[in-house]
Amino acid sequence: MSDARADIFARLRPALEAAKPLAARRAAAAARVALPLRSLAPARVQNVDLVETFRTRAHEVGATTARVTTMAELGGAVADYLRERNLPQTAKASPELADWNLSWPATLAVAHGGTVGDDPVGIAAARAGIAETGTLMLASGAKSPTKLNFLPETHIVVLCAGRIVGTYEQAWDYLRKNLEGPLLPRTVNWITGPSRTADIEQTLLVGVHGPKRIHIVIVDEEPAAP
Amino acid sequence: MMHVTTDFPAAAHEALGDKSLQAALARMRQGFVSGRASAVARLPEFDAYRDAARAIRDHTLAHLDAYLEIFEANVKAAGGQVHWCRDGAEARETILRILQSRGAKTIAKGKSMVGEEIELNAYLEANGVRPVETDLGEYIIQLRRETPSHIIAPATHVSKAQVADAFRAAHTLLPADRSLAEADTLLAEARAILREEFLNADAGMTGANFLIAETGTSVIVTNEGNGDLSQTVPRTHIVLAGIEKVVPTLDDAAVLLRVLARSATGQEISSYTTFSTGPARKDDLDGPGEYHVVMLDNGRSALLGSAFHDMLRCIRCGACLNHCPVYGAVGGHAYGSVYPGPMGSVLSPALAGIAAAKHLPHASSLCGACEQVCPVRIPLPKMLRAWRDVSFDRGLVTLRSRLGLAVWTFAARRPALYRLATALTAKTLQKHRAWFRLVPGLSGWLATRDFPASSGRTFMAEWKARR
Ligand code: SF4
Repeated sequence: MSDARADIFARLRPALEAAKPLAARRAAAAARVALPLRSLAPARVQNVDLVETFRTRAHEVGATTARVTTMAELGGAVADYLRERNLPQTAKASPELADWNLSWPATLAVAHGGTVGDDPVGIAAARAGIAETGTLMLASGAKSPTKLNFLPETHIVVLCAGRIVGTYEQAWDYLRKNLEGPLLPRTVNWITGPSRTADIEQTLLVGVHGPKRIHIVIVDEEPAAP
Repeated sequence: MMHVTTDFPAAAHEALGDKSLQAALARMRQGFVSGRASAVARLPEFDAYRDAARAIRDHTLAHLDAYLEIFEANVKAAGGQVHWCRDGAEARETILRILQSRGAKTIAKGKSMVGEEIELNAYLEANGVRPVETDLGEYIIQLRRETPSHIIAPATHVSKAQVADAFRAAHTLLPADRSLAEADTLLAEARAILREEFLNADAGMTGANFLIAETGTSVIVTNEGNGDLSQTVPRTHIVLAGIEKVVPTLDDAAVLLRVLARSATGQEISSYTTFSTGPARKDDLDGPGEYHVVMLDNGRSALLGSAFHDMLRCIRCGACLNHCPVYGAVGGHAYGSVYPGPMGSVLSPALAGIAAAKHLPHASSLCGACEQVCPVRIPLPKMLRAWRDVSFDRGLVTLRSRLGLAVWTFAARRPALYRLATALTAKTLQKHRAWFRLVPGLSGWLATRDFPASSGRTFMAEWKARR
């Protein structure tokens, strides 16, 4: 196999060499990776209320949102959403939420952990929200399973208002700043609205393989440090 | 080498008479074209992002080997493996070897055009591994044993009734008399069937919209969430990507993502954009234990620095297909290549050889719509003309066309003769439109094309009269 690698690089080099020698190519690439080039930020996220912009965009792609002031209100907001839509009051929540000291109403049965596909409702916490397109950023980890974002039919995401940024690039900054090690998490999910398809006669249908509905509860507070 | 089968004129002729296909194409043109237009209107900076996207791709290609080295090092640092493959056969063997060594019998697949390019499914089936396409469109064409007709909407040519027929034939454990008239019934059935496949697959495979050198990350963009289930539930995640897919940084990927979905489906961004780096970490609650990236050349390296270099910027958005009047009239299958439309007519001759794909550069009216909508500003018409030159130089053009051009060249170099000949021709053709076919040298060209009746005067005569 190492032959194939050597061959492919040998095929690439003559055309590249004509413009810039290898050492200079390597130096330029290393510099760009060390200091990413910044593009312009769209005007739609400048001088606006980021939380409201985020909500507007999320609604446009079929997500619903609610906004509460304190962590204490969060459990009630989740239960309300499920009751109003006649959905099961049984949920699997991401283990990181167990550290947030939340109080779930007695009517709502919440267990913490991963899922194998038999949970009707999944509750997860977003690392960040991106206002430019109403996009949630979630990441895998020891306390945040990825399957919970895809297997349950109803996906509820808790998003702290202070983590809503304007642009994709700002979301990367936020993630880079909060990394625990040198690596990105195994999976970073940007989620914008529910699962959808137009593969049958261009008709838009929601809920193909992933969640049929996504509800975002924005909390103005940050969780208390565990 | 990639495989192309085409007699474009015959296939196009057949497509034009296919009513069901024509209805499907009309829906597609309407949906994608108006979708893109409104998405672009909502983002005033769209053209600035196109310039930035183009610059990112150009910069990456100019430093391609260096970025591939960085990407590879970062995949390894994250615990993943990189496999370099010169051609489709090597990529197929590599994937099969990974699967066999893990005893994998089924593989859940996210949509991958490179997988189609190397005809992976047939190879896996022949070697005892069952591939399950999980993108709804790919699943439909897998059941129908067809190739995709569009790079982002593979089943766009299939009607709802045909989907129902395919499901009835394949899902034999369900009651035969169930109703499948509605699209959401079809969707529910596919969801239930494929959910089982995800949960039981031994391995998962995805393509990659981008590879990020900075972090050793592969990126997939989907609306259904099928790619996520394919790569998260099974133990092994295999990524299959062309070597040109790399970009420098997460920030660069952000810029490309801003133009990708808007150009493709008219969405601002797809429902799911997923960034995968290495296998699951020791303490992670889920995710695959192994991460392999299969890097395919298959003719791409030869494009670098050639007349078709700019084609390597392509981000496979499909906008050039959606806006192409020829694609819109005949659909994807007529091209006989997994990459149809303008991008395919440039790329397929490069990957399959111009001799095999010699019709494709002519399957265009060179109207320029493709270049106008391409998010990375690829000069597709210019490259189609370049392929026409190549095929003429290599003697791949039919004798009739060659003779026609020779006669025209002879006359065009002698202005008086040219004017006399065209004046006589215009007069005659005003009366006898069918005689167009008798014009010396034009018969080859007109065998597959039509002409309006002549006005009776030449262009030169009209020009003089109007001045
Ligand atoms: S050539 Fe341009 S428009 Fe066509 S698929 Fe590629 S990026 Fe999109």
